[in-house]
Amino acid sequence: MTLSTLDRPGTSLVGLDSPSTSANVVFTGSGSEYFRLWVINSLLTLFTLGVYSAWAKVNKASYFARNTQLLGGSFDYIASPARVLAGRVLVALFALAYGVASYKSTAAGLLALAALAAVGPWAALLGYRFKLRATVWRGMAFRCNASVFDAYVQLLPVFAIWATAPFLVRVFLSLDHPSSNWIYAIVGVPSALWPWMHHQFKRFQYRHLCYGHLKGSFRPALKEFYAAYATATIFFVAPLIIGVNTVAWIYQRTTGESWTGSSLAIAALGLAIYAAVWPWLELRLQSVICHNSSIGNFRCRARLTYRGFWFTALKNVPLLFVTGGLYWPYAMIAWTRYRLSGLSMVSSTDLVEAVNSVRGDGFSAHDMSNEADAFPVEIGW
Amino acid sequence: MVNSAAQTVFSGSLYDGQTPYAHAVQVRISIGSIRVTSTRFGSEHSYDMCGVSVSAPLRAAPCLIRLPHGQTIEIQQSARLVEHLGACGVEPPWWARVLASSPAMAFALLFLIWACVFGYSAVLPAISDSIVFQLPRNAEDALGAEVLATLDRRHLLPSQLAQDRQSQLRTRFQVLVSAGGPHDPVEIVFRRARVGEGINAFAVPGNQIVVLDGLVEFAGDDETLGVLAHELGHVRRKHILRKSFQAAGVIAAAAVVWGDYSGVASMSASWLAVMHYSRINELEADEFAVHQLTRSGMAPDGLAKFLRRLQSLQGANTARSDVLSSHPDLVDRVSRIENLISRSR
Repeated sequence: MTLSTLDRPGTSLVGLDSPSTSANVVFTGSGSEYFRLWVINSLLTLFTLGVYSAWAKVNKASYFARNTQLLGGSFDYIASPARVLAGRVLVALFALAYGVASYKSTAAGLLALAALAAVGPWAALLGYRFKLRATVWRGMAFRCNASVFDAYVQLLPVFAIWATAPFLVRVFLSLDHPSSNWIYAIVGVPSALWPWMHHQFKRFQYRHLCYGHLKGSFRPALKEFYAAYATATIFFVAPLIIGVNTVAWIYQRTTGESWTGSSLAIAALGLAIYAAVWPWLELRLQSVICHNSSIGNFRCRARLTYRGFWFTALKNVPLLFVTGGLYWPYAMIAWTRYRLSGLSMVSSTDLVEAVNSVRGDGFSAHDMSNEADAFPVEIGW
Repeated sequence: MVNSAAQTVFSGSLYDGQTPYAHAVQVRISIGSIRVTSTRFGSEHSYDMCGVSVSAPLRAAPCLIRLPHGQTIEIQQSARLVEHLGACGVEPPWWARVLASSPAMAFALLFLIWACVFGYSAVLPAISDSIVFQLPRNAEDALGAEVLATLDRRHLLPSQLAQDRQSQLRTRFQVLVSAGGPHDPVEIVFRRARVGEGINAFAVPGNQIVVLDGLVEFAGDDETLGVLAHELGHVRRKHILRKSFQAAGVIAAAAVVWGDYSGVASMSASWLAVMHYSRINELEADEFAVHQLTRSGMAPDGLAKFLRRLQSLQGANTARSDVLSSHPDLVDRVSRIENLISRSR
């Protein structure tokens, strides 16, 4: 598929003469162009003490959206920066209230934590609604059809578990001689349930994703989520153990003394490995989600070679360190290009015809205030 | 600039905003208005440019022309289109103009690097200093009491040092504190480490220095006072609080620059930066110690002696990893202190 097909519209938008049932996602973002945007965004955000971050976010999101093309049409991100800013101020106020409450007393802190978990599903719903309303493809915005009730039924357990870790930490701190077994509970409970929480969130999002009259669906894939997280853990732990032992061996070989091991050096190594493994996990989960979700008659197909991925990761991580972080925007573009390169949209009939026959849902893009949402600001970061 | 009629016609897709249906259209843009003709039906609409917004030009992304009532026209980006829009007086947003200008971008990049370096080396320390030195004393005392209480519960035991030894050290320490004019009173408290030898002393917020028995047992009086002078430096310069404010600033700035992908990446950068601040604090406290010991008429080389002994105790076991360490290398610290002493003579 090429863009030049837009020059002869009315024929086939896919640029194929025969009807086609699949189209690749094309990402056209460029590292040097995004680098410029990143410089301006960072500079202004720093100098306005964070106020510009809302405009920066919208500019960045619209850069990535407009450079993502599917079926000859680009995506777009049309959020109002003022609303993004309002949402950020709100989140900051909540965080501040929580901080003050936990500083005052343990009881006030626990109460504030419970309050945060209780508003969690509502905030997640508003954030998701906002994001979808701001995301446009072929002139039409996406929509979230979840009610507040849906959000609470599906997400309240997630937020309740999310709150257990800080809850247990608070209890732990208030004890005089706590047993070290507490650490297992604090770290273990949320870690063991994290894939479930993530899965629950994605299920909520994809089930309530709407595009025109098309509704999203999501086939539960909990086993795959756990497998992906387990594999990522192995990818993370194994090189760490091998790396630490190699350093110790080299140290002993060169100095003749045993390496007692600096916790900081181990942490740095862990960080570098994390930087490479985290994108792998994201990629793996992307393909699991793709495989199990659909919207109307459309499905998404992810075909990625992990060899290409490891090459990208091995190039990006050292370059980030060497350039003192200036390579960041290039890495972001390279990573997004790679992540989107294997994605395609599939339908059982001719795609162009199928897309052209999608009916509207009565809502208009560019008119977000029209929606019956009580609170049209972006909650989240 | 005069364009021939054929050059000013662009083909694109019109979306009505209600459905994803692509209507093929021909678009003619002129100064103040835009004319849209349906390719299939030949029907034509004209719009005043006042109600129309044109997306910022990007290198490869299509140009999006947003018409009134939620309609959008998507046209493939080209140099011809950008040039024509410019000729018709359609200006890109200011940031897109900055993006397109290489000199402006070079300036912005240098400015960003300068802002990060200058903010990190001068602005952030200055801001945290001004906050820290204006913080009410009782807030600091309350924080210090809480820290000490937590440490007592977890890591510390009452001192087993003889009372007269304690009071002897207290007296000598007060001489050290009062040298060079009146200041806030600073107290030392004695404790024993629950685990390990505890060859250490450390400052807690609220003008208190905790001395562990292990230090007094390991080091002689002069050396202990050298260490206490170093800790007094941390107290006077309010290093603990200053470091936490500096850390907060660095974390916020790193989240701005690198936070869009992974919080962990920006946290790691912050951590390296905070370690650097920490090493600067140590050197500052060393410098203060030499100064204060000299002023109070005590042996100025107590700290250096102690560090050298510590070094031989640790041996070559510690790998040199300056960038990742909260304290500067012992060898460097000793030679710096010796330089300071020889200069003050």
